[in-house]
Formats: sequence, C-alpha cells, structure tokens
Amino acid sequence: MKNSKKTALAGMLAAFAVAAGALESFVPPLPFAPPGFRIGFSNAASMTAAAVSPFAAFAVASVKSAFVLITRGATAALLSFAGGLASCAVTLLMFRFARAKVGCIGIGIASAAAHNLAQVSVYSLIIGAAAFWYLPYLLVLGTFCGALTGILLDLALKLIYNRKDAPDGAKHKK
Amino acid sequence: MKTRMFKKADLFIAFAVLFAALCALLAISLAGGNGRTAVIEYRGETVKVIDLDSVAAPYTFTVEGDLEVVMEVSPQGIRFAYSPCPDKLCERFGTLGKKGQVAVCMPAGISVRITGEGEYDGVTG
Repeated sequence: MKNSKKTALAGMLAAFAVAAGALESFVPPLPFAPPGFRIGFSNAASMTAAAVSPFAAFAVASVKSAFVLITRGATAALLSFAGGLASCAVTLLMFRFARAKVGCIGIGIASAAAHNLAQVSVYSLIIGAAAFWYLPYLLVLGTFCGALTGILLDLALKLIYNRKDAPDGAKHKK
Repeated sequence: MKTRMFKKADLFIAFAVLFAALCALLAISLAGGNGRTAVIEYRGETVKVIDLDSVAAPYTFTVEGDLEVVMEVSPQGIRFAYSPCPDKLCERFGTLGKKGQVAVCMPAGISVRITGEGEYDGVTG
C-alpha cells in the first residue's frame, strides 16, 4: 500500500476511533460490569490500523488518548494511552508472527486482555494494589468484548483489502 | 497472507484468558478466612478496617483522600454514599458485601475492598 494511502487510512481510522469512543459514553452501562467499564469499540479501529502499519497503530492510539484528555481528563487519558499502546503492541505482534494461525476474534481477545492488564497496572500505581482486584472481572468481560471488536476488525479488513483497487491485492480471505 | 475471522487457535486464546481470570479470582477469594472485612485504602495505604460481620446498625463516616467521600456501613456491606467528584462512578458500585468485591473512587484516590480477614479477628479478638 502506498504511503499516502496508509496515512489517509490512519486518519480515517483515528476519526472512527474518536467517534466510537464518544458514542460509547452514551451507551448505558452494562448491569453486571464494574462502573467505568467500556466495550471498547474504538479498539477495532486501532487494531485495523495495526494491520496497516505500526505507525498508523501508534497514531490512532495517540489521537484516541488525546481526545480522552480533552473530554475525560489526564488520569483517564493516561489509562487510555497505556491500554492503547499495550493492545497495539499485542495486535502488531500477532499480525506479524501469528497471522496464519489466529483469526481476528483471537486477535481481538488478546488485544483486549493486553489493554485490561496494562490499564490495571497503571491504575495500581495511582490507587494501590486494590486495582488488581478488578482484573478477573475485566478479563472475563474483555473476552466477550474482544471477540466483538475482533468481528469488527474482520469486517474492516474485508472492506479495506477486498476492494478491486486494493493496492497490494486481496490480503484478506473473503 | 490471509487473515480470517475465526480460527481454532482463537478458542485457545479465549480459554487461556478465561483461565487466567479464574486463577486470579480463586487467589482473591481463597486468601484469608470466611469473614467479611472492609479494607479502606488511600493510594495503597490502609486508612480504616471494618469487620462487616460485627456491624449491627447502619452508620456513615467520612474518609479524607484527595477529596472527602462519605461511606456508609450496614450489616449488608459497605458503599460509597457520596463523593464530590463529577463522574460518580464510585457511587454506582453499590453496596459491597461479598469477599473479593472492590470499589474505587479514582478522583479521591480511595478504594474499598472486601477481604476474608474477619474470621481471624473473630478468633483472636
């Protein structure tokens, strides 16, 4: 894929991540989830960006956290950035080394788990070890939400790579 | 290389994550005795410990963190009754009465969790 096309795609994905993040604050909280828990639809955008290039992934994670900084404050932005970086790193590694073995749902679940683990770790620096007590709940919920964002990732990859004008051929199985 | 929506290894990833969650949950719930003790912490340092099993009537008290929050204790458990912070996430946790439960008020830096240390207090005290 041409660099100009990658940059344009990264911009669109960043916009989608911000929009998804904003819309998510209007979704009523899940009744059994801890307060503040979010499904993480915007994670689908950062995972798609990770399929495009590491730079795009980093850009989307940064833009996403910058938006959180404006709307929800510094602590939330720090948590968002830590989670974003960790999930991007895991997604990049899986695309690079395990693409033949794992599907998008598996990538989504692993990415969500990395997101939760990183967030809880940073959270524990602020609040103390009590933060880790969240982890079991977050991991279980994250498995389902990760599968959901994984399906979105699959749809996005199909849209991007199965087009007739896809620059480097159909990378993605129909 | 082609990517698909689902492959068998995905199930393995899902079970690995769920298994890790189960282990963490077991580690939390098996530690300590069968009692219910509320441990209130400010940025990781214990501020107050309350044996919930010995609470007869509900009462409230304030905890001084970065913000001053009001907590309510009753025989059912403990809850953040009021926090001056704008997001009110801590109030939405509701009453914690089971071992392993946790609630955090991040703007105040205050957390409360239910541990199983109460039994030992009961035996020794």
